Amino acid sequence: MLRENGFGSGPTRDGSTDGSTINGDAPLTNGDPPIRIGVYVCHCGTNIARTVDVERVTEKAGELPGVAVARDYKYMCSDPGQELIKEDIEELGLNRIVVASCSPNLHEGTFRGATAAAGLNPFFFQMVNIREHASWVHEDRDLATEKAVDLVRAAVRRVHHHKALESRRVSIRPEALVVGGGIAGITAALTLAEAGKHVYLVEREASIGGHMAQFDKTFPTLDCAACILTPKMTQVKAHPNITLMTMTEVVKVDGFVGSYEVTVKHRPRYIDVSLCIGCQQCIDACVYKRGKFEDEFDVGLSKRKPIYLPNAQAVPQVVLIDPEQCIQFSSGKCKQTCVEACDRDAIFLDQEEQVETLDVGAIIMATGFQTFDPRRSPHYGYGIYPNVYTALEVERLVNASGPTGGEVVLRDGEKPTSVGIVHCVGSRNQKNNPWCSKVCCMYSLKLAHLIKEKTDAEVYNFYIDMRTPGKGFEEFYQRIAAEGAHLIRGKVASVYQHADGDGEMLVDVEDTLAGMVRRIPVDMLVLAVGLEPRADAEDVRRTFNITCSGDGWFMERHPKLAPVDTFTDGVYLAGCCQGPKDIPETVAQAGAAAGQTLALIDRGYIELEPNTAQVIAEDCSGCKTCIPLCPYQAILQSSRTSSRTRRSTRRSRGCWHMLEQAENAQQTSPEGFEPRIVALFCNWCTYMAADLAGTSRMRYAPNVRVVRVMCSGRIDTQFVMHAFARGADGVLIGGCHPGDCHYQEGNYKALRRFRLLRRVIESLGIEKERLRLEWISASEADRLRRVADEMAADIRALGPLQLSIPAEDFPSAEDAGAELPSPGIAEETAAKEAAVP
Amino acid sequence: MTESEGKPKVAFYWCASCGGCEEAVVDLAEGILDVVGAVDIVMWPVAMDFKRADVEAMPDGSILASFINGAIRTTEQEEMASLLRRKSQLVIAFGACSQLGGIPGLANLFDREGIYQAAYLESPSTENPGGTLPRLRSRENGYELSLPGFYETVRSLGQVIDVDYAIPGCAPHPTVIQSAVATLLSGELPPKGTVLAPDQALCEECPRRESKPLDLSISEFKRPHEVLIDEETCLLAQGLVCLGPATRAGCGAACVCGNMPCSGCSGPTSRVLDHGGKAISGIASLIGADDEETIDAVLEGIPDPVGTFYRYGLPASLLRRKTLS
Repeated sequence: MLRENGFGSGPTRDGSTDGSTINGDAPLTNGDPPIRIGVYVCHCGTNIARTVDVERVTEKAGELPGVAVARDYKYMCSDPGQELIKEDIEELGLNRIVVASCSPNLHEGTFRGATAAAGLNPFFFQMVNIREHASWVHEDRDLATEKAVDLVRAAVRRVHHHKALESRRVSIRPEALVVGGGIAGITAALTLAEAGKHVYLVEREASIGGHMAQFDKTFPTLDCAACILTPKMTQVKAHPNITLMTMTEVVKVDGFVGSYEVTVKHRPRYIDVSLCIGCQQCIDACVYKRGKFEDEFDVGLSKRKPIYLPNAQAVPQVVLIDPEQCIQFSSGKCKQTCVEACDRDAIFLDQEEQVETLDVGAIIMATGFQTFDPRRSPHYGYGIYPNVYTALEVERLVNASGPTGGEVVLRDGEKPTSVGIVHCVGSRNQKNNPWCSKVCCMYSLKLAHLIKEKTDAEVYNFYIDMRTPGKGFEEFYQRIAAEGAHLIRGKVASVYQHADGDGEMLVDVEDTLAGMVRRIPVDMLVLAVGLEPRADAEDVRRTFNITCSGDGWFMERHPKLAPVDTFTDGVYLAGCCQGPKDIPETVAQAGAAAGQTLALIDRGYIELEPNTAQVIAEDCSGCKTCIPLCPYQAILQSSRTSSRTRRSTRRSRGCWHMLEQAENAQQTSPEGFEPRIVALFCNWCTYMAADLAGTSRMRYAPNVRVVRVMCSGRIDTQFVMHAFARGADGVLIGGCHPGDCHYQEGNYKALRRFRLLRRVIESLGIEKERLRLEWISASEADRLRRVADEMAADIRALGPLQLSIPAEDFPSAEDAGAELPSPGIAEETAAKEAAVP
Repeated sequence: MTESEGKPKVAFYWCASCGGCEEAVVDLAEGILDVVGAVDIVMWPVAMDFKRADVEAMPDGSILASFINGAIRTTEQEEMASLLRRKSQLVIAFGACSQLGGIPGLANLFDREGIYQAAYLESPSTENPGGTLPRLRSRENGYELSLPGFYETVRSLGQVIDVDYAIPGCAPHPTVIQSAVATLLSGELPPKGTVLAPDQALCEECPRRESKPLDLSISEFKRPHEVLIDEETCLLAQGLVCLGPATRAGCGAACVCGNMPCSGCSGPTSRVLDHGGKAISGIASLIGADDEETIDAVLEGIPDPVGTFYRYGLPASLLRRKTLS
């Protein structure tokens, strides 16, 4: 049936906006079967029933148009609960299902499954969130119940418009990208390559190996890191299924799961990787007679030349030139002895940056961590006293291939006699990083052992708690204790140098076990620096369109059940980029990420969520407005058939038609003024924040009725106007922070519309407090609470929104005449004129 | 011109409008003769001398179709609209004012008192020392005079009486009128509520469509008097607010052919609930800025957003008017 609103009486207070009727069993459109809705209201034990009057919600639902049956049940998600739905579909001929229970993020899949099991298209199901969004966040039983009724009414209204949708399958490219060449990336790449998949392994540095390559021994077994890592590194280089790209960074990721287009930038190495054999004659020939620049691999403990091999075990075994340091690059006047020395003619000083595009089906993020910079905690004296080291520096000192050939010596070359190791530097405190870095206790014990072994010094470990929960960890701790390391439980207050200046330092520390404050002289202090997200983690996550949790680590899809997945399909996490972990855990996680990738790739196709946009060719005028607005370039203009647009099925993502919900998520208030606020929340951030507010049992104003939209960019300004026209006193739009949009730029579109819309509604006398746009991320439940409370208070102070009188309430001609005499102005003016002397 | 001739009876009426719709009928030129020959006109104040009493005397439903242009602003207009509704089998809202509220509908940005103030007391061209304002009844030289009541709010015809069809435009384009009349006379009536014009956006028939860029991004809005408008390029691409993408086709993109942007007089297509709202969504999204400050600076180029996006349709829009204090 046609819907012509342009000249009709417009939407009415209670009626449908279109010609279609939704009374009882009347068909929605000619030829479709009558709508028969089943509504199921869940008690969730007492989780919902305690605050929401479930029976009343059910009773109200039963009165709604199209509802054939409304039931309440203790646990809808249980087998009998799902069975109830199936039986009703079969016996009562239901063709729409509404379940009011918890968040769709929890059980949407469950109930879609139950719907499908009874032979009904699963997209005839709609979920209503009355737990996280009602019973868990409100205390007033009446208001919470009223809200639940509104939300159910909205969903019932919505399902009338549902159509049967079919999931579409798209094929998946078998190639994978692994970002980061540490032990996580190496493991993931090798696992995939062994399974026959082609892998692009992209590493920013000149060699793979990551942090692990810098270590000497690994805890608790004390096996040599290089011995177990180096073979894996060479295996990567040699593997026919791995394309290794060092000095390469990902600059752009386009596309969608199954067909990502990844743009990578290769920094110039000035050496042809295919020609260089790593003979290092160029290094010997360099005009610098000895090393002058800090060696990154040795954390500045040794010097290298501008042309150098990243480290002895580097893979690829290829030198590189640092253009910042090489004379040829700064002055152009170098004799270029390196070029002469190379009998392979592998040096190309005119090499330039190169950009390349890789097509892959899936991506594994293995970008690792950085260590805490102890200059941020100056009371430990790092950078002030020469013999204060970070643990990573000491890893290099104890390493046989390190700058001292494995000798633990001070800056002056002397062996230390008393060594302090401070645990938890930068970890477990509110000033720096609140988290436990997980590996520091164990590597500190390992260093205690290695230092003692090499120097026979007295070693003091200053720890807060000794955390050794791992296979063989506690035993290792017992072993180190038995070896005679002094284990002092207490925090180091300060470190200062002895006045007599022989380099000895004094460590003031509380010994909580002895119940005293101690002052311990040491000549070497090792800081067990914690792990933290890389400085550019935020940029990287934007490039890959994944999320960071509040602490900056990449966020997994579910902390327990999807620990290597991200919220972006086809992008997985491995290793410390997701949070601190040790080597075995990293390897296990990398294996899991590779497994997930294989599960995705090997199936060969994915089922795409079918709720994607479509172009209805006969309605399309070819205005092309949609084309520049799609960040996925999913809308293609067919060059041959005039200018109709057609949609590329591969990439378009979900947009939902939510208008019906917006208009019905509120109804006339009871006695007294309670503002009705329609909230249009992005599925990926603000809706999740509202769920989090529920699971955190926060309390906020019960005036907000949440409608889930896939993106704030989906919110047509008509939705907002419709909500106002239908009696909302306020509209709240919640989207992702700038730069965080799940669909790249939807939130910017929302912002642009909002700025213009606000001008319009202000011109129409609607106060600006009634329309808000807020960026609220998935973790900002508290912000959501504050915004909801604030908005409810603002609108309560403003009073109800008094829109124009709807047509049906318009006074009759007689009324207009009766109120017309308006002697007002004329007579007042006359009276004023008369009054003037 | 009697019933015995068996021709269908047709009435024309005007309410709050400028007279352009009457012109549009006359603009049918020789085409009008076919229409006039085919029907029996029983009411047409602008051209024929029939009175209200003549219509009142007719049996209910005896008129095949009444074409009413203009918005409803006064009690008289509502009465006549109701009368014609009663006497007619079909009522057709003719033109933007009738269909959507039209330009007179912009009066909904004010209330009655404000309009009186402006029109009868404050406008520079008004000479009204006595401060006389329209009154329902007054006495002049011993005569009892009366005026129609003046509503606070302008309404579209469909907000006052039941309307069967609409012919869009300000004024409706002759080809739209001709094809609409042909449809009505064909005996195969479309579903009630149909707007008798193509149900696609104006871009469909815009000669500049191919010049619209696929990466359109607007960094500055310009008004027609501020720029030398290129005669071939898409107007949106030139930064002009062209409502073509959100407006119904049928006029042959007449304004664009005259090198002016579409201002939206044909209203929206059937799939749109709020013409201005849809246009705002589409056009605002194209703004080439991501931060509030720059977006606002770009929006400075649209100094009167309601007048821009609701020029012809404020009464029929979702929000209808400025709130009354």
